[in-house]
Amino acid sequence: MSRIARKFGFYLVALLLCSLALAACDNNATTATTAPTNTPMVVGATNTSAISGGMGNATAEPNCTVTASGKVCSTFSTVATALSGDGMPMTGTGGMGGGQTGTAKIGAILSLSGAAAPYGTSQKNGLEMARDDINAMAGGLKLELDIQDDASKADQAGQVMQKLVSAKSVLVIGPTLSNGAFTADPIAQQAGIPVLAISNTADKISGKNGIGEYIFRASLSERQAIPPTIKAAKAKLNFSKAALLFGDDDAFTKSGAEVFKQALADNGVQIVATETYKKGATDFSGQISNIKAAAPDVIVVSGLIAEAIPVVKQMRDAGVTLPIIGGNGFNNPRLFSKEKGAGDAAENVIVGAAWNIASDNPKSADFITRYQAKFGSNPDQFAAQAYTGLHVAYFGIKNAKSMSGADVAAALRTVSYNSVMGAFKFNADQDPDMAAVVQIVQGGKFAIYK
Amino acid sequence: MHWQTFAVLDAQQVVNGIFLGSIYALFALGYTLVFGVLDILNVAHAAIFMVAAFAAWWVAEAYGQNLLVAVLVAALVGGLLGVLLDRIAFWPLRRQGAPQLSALISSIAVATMLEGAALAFSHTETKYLPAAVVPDGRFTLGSGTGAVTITFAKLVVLGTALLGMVALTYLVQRTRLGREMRAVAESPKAAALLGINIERVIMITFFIASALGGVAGLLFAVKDAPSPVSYDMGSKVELKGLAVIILGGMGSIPGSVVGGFLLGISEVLTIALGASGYSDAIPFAILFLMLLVRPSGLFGSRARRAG
Amino acid sequence: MTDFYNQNSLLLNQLAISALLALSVYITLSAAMLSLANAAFMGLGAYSSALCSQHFGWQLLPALLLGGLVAAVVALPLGAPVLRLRGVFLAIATIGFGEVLRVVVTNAAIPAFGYKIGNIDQAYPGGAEGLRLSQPPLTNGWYSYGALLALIYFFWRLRGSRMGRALAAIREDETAAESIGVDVRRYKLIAFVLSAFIAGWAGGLSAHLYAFINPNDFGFSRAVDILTYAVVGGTFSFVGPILGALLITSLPELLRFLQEYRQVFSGAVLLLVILFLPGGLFGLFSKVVRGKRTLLVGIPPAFSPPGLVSEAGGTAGGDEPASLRPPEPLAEPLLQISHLSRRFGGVIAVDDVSLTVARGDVFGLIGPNGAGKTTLVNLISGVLAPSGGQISFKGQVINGLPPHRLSTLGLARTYQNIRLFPTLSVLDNVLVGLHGRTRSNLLARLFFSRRVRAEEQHNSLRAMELLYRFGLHTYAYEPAASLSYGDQRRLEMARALATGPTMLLLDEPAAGLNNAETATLRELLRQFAAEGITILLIEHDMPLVMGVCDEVAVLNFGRKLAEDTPARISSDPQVIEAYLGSE
Repeated sequence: MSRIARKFGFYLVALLLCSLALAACDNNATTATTAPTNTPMVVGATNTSAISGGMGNATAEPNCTVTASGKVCSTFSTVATALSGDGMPMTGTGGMGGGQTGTAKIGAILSLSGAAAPYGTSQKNGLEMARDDINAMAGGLKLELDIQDDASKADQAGQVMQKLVSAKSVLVIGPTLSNGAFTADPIAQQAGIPVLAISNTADKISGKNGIGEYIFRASLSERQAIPPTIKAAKAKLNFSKAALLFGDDDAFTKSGAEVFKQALADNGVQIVATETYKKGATDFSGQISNIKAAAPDVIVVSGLIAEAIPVVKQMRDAGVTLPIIGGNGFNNPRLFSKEKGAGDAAENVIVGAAWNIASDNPKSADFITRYQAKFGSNPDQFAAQAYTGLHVAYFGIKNAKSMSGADVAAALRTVSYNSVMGAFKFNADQDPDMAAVVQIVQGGKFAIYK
Repeated sequence: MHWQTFAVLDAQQVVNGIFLGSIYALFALGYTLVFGVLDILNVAHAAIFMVAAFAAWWVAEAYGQNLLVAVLVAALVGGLLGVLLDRIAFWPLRRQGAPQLSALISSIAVATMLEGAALAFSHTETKYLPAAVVPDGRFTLGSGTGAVTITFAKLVVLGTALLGMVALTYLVQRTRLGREMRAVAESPKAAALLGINIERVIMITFFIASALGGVAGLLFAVKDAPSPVSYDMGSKVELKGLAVIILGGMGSIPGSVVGGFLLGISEVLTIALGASGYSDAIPFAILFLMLLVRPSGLFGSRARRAG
Repeated sequence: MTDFYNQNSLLLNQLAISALLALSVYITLSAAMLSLANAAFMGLGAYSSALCSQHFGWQLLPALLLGGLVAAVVALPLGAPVLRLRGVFLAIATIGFGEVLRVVVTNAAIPAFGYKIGNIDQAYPGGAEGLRLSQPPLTNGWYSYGALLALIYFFWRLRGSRMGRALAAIREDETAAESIGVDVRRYKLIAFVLSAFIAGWAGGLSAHLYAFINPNDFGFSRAVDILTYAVVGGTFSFVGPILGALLITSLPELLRFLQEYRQVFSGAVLLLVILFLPGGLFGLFSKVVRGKRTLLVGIPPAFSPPGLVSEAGGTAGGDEPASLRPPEPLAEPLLQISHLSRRFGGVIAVDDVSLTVARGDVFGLIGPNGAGKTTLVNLISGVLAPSGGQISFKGQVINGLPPHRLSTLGLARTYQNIRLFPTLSVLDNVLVGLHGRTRSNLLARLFFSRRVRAEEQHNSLRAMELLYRFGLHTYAYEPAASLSYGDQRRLEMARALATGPTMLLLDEPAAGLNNAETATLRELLRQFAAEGITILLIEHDMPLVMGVCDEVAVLNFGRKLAEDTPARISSDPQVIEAYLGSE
């Protein structure tokens, strides 16, 4: 027995030496996995680099593309051209000069595993579909997507960003969670690489008043989405006392809570109870009891989907029939899923969003159909924002004077583009200059709140 | 902090605490049983808790059965895993006469493996027990601010937990097997001299303890809508289970029961007071103080185990 | 070379940090403590050093030092009460401490200590989202590797030092170590505080390495990771944990293909090691585990019996006799026990026993099994506290004094079930016995002072002489466990004698000896008596007792039946009825 054990030991030590050598030599080694994490050797960043596939149709004429409905041409130097009836590829304008060609490496930090995986997976789909559509367009500029997983952990997002920055990405998309953004974005800001957030909604991320002028956002922030939601809900439901429940260990949920507080105050609503929970909590009976005792008219929740689901279900189970208003984290079809979500309990939950599947934007309809065909399910807001985001990035790079960070950032600031979410451009805070859509869950899907 | 709520610690909060406590108590029973009989702290108990819940989930998904079947599956899988755990991780060390520390580390290793297996199996996704397994509906007692709403699911959880506690107590106090277990707990050498088959008693102890732990896992999932089962559910209770058995006294069955309920209520109390962030620290603060003041716990005996 | 470092600085520094953490756990393990608090101490160090460097603007080195110091300072009041606890309870207490710390950090908010990173306000301690540092990540490897090298040097010098031997003794057998003069509580506390300091330093390093602190990094699973490094590497020597840390930290890179199964694999490795490789991986290479070599070796003295001439000059004979203290001019009885009793719940093990042992006596204590003899000896030697009554030694009341204090006062004992330090060499066992009569030499050893070498030679020589006296000098470098039963008994006595006792308590020293060995024992006892050592002897071997004792006391059911000369005891009808007659 001991001889076997001895051999085993020698092999293990040999393994050690090899692994050390490999770890050192392999530049693509994911340093994220050696970072202190909660569980030992949990899945770290996966290293998938997506090569631009494209649909393989090269068109003869520049600026023209072949679509299902025929060939459509457009020019880049004019303001957004008209929409065609059944979904044509998007066009957009940018700053002066530009006309970049070649291949641009775009990094993406997504939460493909961990608590935010439901959002990250949608985003990945949206990005990949966008990349394929973009690379099918003419114009000479192709995009190469490098999607990395940050496992919903902020420090891993930071490390992945470091890698993407040193790999000289032209632009980085993400990370999924605002938590990750606060850690990762400053790295890009310092290195002068533009970042385009497609789902960060916390305060003070984008622009000069946020992390820096290289940080852009294609997702509507909570600050933009929540106030109209509260206003619309108050107009219909006329409540005066609210209970606020939020996760106090996440930058996004905390920021959302702050915005809710402000919006409620602005609408003359008094907050009679404030309760908190931590990520991973499954039992909200204590908080729910406290809320019931305070006798509010409405319940306002700032949370991620993993907690949103049990909160809603347990509220209803506890006999609470009050209206529930959720923040951006609720924007996931899992909310009302019968197998994986709150099912019927989610009926009449109100959520502010940047995009709704029932939107009457014709580009949206086309997007939905093709997404369905490609992935077998409906897209959600995160997929839509990802799809939009990559296009915005594309036009930013395309129209930039050079592929340097400063030039791309400058071009981004002046991008104007018709997206599936409507007309898109950045405001002074480098957030989207768009209106929010207020939704309500009805009949097992998100409907527009009217 | 809501000091006003403290004055009106309503029945609902107490009831919530009892439901939560019943699971802690059931979980701690398995912990304390193994420690009492074998003088081992089985850290893998929480991992078995989780794997049994996954097993019940899988069976429910595949065959859509009811709660009773799920409970039986959880108990069976838990029990068998416990026996396997003993054979692989503890028995070889017993034979070698290895120090207690080795057994502890061994159980940690198995716990890591089981959690890793669940992680890989579920791809870190949370699974949900199908609705057919979880009893639906709720009822309300009283009205107004004193009203207490109880879901059937929680009631079933409490009932099953109590059943488990009663059954175990009966087993240990009234049956021959129970006598043998107590004899081994006092002194394995003396028990062997009396003709008791030590290894058989140990195996049965592990089976019972882990079956209880497995059922506790299933109930833990059932209790909170929408009944999540995830690879990290063990880590939520393992440390609290420790606090329970220290509070109640290691090796003491009534101690686990009382300790479990006390812990559940104190946790809910902390949330009721508005300090929900600290609710996780309460069990450990209690644990720490207990160890300093009275390491044998509320019900534990001071005497060391004879050889 | 520098290119290699620059490209991989993160990984390389992480390796060093893991090694430091593994060593911090190793320190406590080598004092027989399983502490799972090191992850929490790491957290303390991380947050404290971050506060210094961010809010107060300190340089990195003082910040790291402070991080370690904070952890050490917290460990002190924490350790004192907690270290009393038995093994598994100690582990649980340390887990509890870790969790409390983690929860407090994620919930506390101290705006006064906040700082700005660019435009963003960073609250301290940052809550559950973590604390970001404004400096770029650390790349200078000297902070981590320098610390590691310093620690390795420290451990290397620790090996042959008095403290190192004391720690090893504690790990082998705490009770025995305490009874020969090692202040177990103090050493455990030292080990605990030192381990906290190192963990705190490692925490500060980690914080600055990633420029980020995640509070969930300092929980139970991290503590388990650190323990794994040490266990897998092997805990018989400080090399083991370093090896384990390097292996486990760099393994994820190699095992990336395993992806989601990595955790299963790491658990499996730990299980295999704990089941089949008690000495860890390093144990495979070191002969220590196989018992062929001893753990600690004092400087081999130039010893050649029977000349007894030492290289250091002078003869052993000219030095103080190895076993004798300068006689103390006291006339009162050496040991006086009055109305001593001890209860265990309802059982009265020792019931109102009074006896007196005069200086120079050989006092025998006999009685049937279960009469309370060993309990009485345990009471005298401080292992148990009396329920009532008083014990005084050399005129001083010694009720409740810890065993190591009694050893310093001149009381030594041997045990019924022989308590040696099994993996330590025979020589080292005796050297530990000298613990109470030597001074700490660790600091001197760190600086290779010449005086220390001479001292160590001298001590080894004294030990060797003692061994020679017991005929064990040829086994000097063998592990104590490899000796025959009779030799082990003699070794235990040699060790007891090394403490320079005025009084020896011998608990059934003839048990298991054959006639020849018993005769040798009788001779030894007579020699000790001749040298002026007072002896209290518990025995069942009647010829031995009658042949060697001046006075004999008989115990039965915890009470003293009689106390008289051997001749009169053997003819006392009460005694005969109670006891004599069974041979």
